[in-house]
Amino acid sequence: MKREQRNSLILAAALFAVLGAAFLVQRFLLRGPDGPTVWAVVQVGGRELQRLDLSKDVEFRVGNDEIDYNLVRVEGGKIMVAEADCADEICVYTGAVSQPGELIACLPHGLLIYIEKAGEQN
Amino acid sequence: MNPIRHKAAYLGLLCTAAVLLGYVESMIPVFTVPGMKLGLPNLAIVTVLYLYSWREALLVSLVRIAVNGLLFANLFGVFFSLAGGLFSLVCMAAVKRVGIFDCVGGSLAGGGAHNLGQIVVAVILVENVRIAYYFILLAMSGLTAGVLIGLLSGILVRRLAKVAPKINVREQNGQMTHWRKRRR
Repeated sequence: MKREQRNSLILAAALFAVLGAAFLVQRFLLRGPDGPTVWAVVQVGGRELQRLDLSKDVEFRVGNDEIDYNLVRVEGGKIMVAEADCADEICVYTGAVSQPGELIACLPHGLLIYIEKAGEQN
Repeated sequence: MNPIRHKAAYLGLLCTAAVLLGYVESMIPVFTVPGMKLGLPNLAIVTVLYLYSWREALLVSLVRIAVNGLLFANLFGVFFSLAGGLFSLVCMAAVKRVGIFDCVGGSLAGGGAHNLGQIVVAVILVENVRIAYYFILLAMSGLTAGVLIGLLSGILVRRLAKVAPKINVREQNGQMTHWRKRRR
């Protein structure tokens, strides 16, 4: 094996080790105690629009009615973007989320939906 | 054959490859993590970077982003991939310059930097750092794809350099000189 190849291998292993450690820290150390109630916060461009209780089913549009919209739906304790007219529709493909920390983002519209524990409000 | 024309033909070919790979990638649906991508066009970019220099790679990268943006995306997509693509190219060129890694190392840096650049843009767009929640998973997938792309482009660079030895020609001070191996 050439020296350059070996160096690249070491670099890859080091990066994966760092990321793996960071992943474990995020998953197991930074998780607070599980609370029963969670909220979904809907933001556009950093401005909070709504704070939703996930136990109540609801459906509403964010943005304009005709263009640049996201159809947000709360159903069975989960929140999802059911429909959107952005280019990649990553927000729709993300699917339904319900666990604290999970989020749905629609970057073209600056929309962010994230799950928060009830006591965590800032 | 005129070496500069020869080179132009090869760069055109690699541009086409980059555009096509970008199109193929846009047809692959999103996997488990939102925003996860294979980075297929980077195969052409890394190949150009290691066959020529960062200048040619920058050219191919810009052409790819412009053509793919016009054909398959919108203005937002162009700026988003510009942010990721340019930052990734800067990091790859830096790693190549350091000189102690082969193209797997360069491609790794490119994959990681692409994820980092796009997360930074995402944080600016939604004005909330929470969006970095998926960064670790994204970066892991980016690095894995980077290793695979690097291995593939290593094979490509070796074969292309063999088939077309005159490909390593650069115009310097208006004169054609053969490309010299960069001093370590």
